[in-house]
Amino acid sequence: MSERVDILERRAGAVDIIAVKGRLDAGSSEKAEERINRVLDAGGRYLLINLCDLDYISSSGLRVLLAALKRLKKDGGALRIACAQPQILEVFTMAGFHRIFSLSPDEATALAGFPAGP
Amino acid sequence: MAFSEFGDLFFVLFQMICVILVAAYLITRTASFTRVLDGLVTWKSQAILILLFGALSIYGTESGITILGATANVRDLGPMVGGLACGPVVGLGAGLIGAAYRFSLAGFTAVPCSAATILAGLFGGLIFLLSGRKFVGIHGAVLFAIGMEAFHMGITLLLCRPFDQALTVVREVALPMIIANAIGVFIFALIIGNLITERQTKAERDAYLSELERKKAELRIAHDIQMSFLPERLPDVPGLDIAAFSLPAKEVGGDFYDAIPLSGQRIAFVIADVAGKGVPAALFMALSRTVLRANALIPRSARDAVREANALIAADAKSGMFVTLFYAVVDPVKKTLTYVNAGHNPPLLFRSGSERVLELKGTGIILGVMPDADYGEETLALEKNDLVLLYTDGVTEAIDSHEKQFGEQRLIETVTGCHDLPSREIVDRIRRAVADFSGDEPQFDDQTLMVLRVV
Repeated sequence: MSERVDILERRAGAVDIIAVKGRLDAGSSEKAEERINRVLDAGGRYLLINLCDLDYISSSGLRVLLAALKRLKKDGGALRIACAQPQILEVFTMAGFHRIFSLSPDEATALAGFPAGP
Repeated sequence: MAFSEFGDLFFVLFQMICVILVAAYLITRTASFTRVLDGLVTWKSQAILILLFGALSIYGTESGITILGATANVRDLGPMVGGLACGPVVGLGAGLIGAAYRFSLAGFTAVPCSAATILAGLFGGLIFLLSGRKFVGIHGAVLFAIGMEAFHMGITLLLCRPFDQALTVVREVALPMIIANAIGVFIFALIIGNLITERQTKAERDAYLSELERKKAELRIAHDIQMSFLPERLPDVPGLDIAAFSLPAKEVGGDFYDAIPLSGQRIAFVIADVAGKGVPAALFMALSRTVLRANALIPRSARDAVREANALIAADAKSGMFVTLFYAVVDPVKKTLTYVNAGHNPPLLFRSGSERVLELKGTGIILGVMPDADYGEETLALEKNDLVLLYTDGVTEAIDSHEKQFGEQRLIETVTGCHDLPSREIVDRIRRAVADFSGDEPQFDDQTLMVLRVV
């Protein structure tokens, strides 16, 4: 199985930025989940997920995002999603995710939305 | 030293090495030795090892070459290895046996030789303790042997009088003894090292296999739970031709479908996809299905049934579990279909005599994430030969060898033009189309289908 998802991590102040590129489906979301959990295990409390280059998301991908959100909420952190493409937003809307996630049009707006600031 | 003496020395050394090889092999294969390697020290196994290494020490004395009443020998080998590999008790015990035997032979160097043998076992044992109750390794063991024999020579010089005689003896035997003991310890260390690696590999393999076995069992259990919660047969509904199919993936599980007879000949159809895998997903599926069934049976609207079910499921949802669900109540008398779509991929409605395919889009959030979520419902009038295709994303996400997805468009094309076939036939066509498309590619997600045809 070739790599269908590419994950890049960086930090801006207290915020961990994870860019997920490619496809987040049943075959690839485990990898994304591991990477996100690694950031959270390391004490990350403010997570910005950048979906600028995400082409596709399935219910497995939604589960990964939801698991991260639940974990952060429990620990008093925050998760924001930036830059989701129209086809991704459509899936979010279908699932009702637009009602539970903070969605921002771009990374800068999302960063500004964190309580601690970047 | 004449050449023949060198030859003798070499021959004796070679003979010794052969015996040591065999002894090393046999001793390290005893149950007592492997038990000590595992850290299980009992008095019985220690006693056995003391006797074995003690016997090796006696052999070391006997096999030596006597030079001026002193012998170039490997007496210290048994106690050294016993101590290095099994700890101070075994080292000291074997040393005492070897020393007692050496002392009984008397001779000019009896005292320092006996003392050195006891100390060899004791020091070996101390090194064992210092290494954290473990064998120190090949390098450490060989260095210790060299150092120990040099020390042996040192106390001979210190204790034996007259000094000149002691010096002559030491000059003759020092090098052969250091070399012989170093080689002997090297052989033992090599075999012990191999044994430790071999046992580690075996332990790792055993752990891996049992983990694999456990995973397989878990997958089987998950699969069994999932299958046991699918309806064995679909009910007969007047005016409807129904067929369904579910093919669980190896690891990702949690699709289900259901058909629940309600009052007034009405019937509720469900298709759902639990996100998650293994036993947790299978149990979540069982929970969701049961909660939904219980709520469907209470006389109330479709949206109320789903809203109540969501409130209960959300209370139990842990670690990001959720379920996408499409719930539809068909009234064969009024010829209507009322649906609630909780974040499930939109089912497709193929109208009779129309090319257009309608999507039955979402009317609310996925189940399990917002306990107080509200849901909308939509009602459609059904006509003869209308066809509703319910499916999970495992169908449209099936990939071919180029990782292209089967997709909604192919699904629509497969059904278009054959709405008037029996539902069973349509389900089979889709199954075949998906299977042909994905070829040998592994199936990543459950594939579930349900076809409702108005007749």
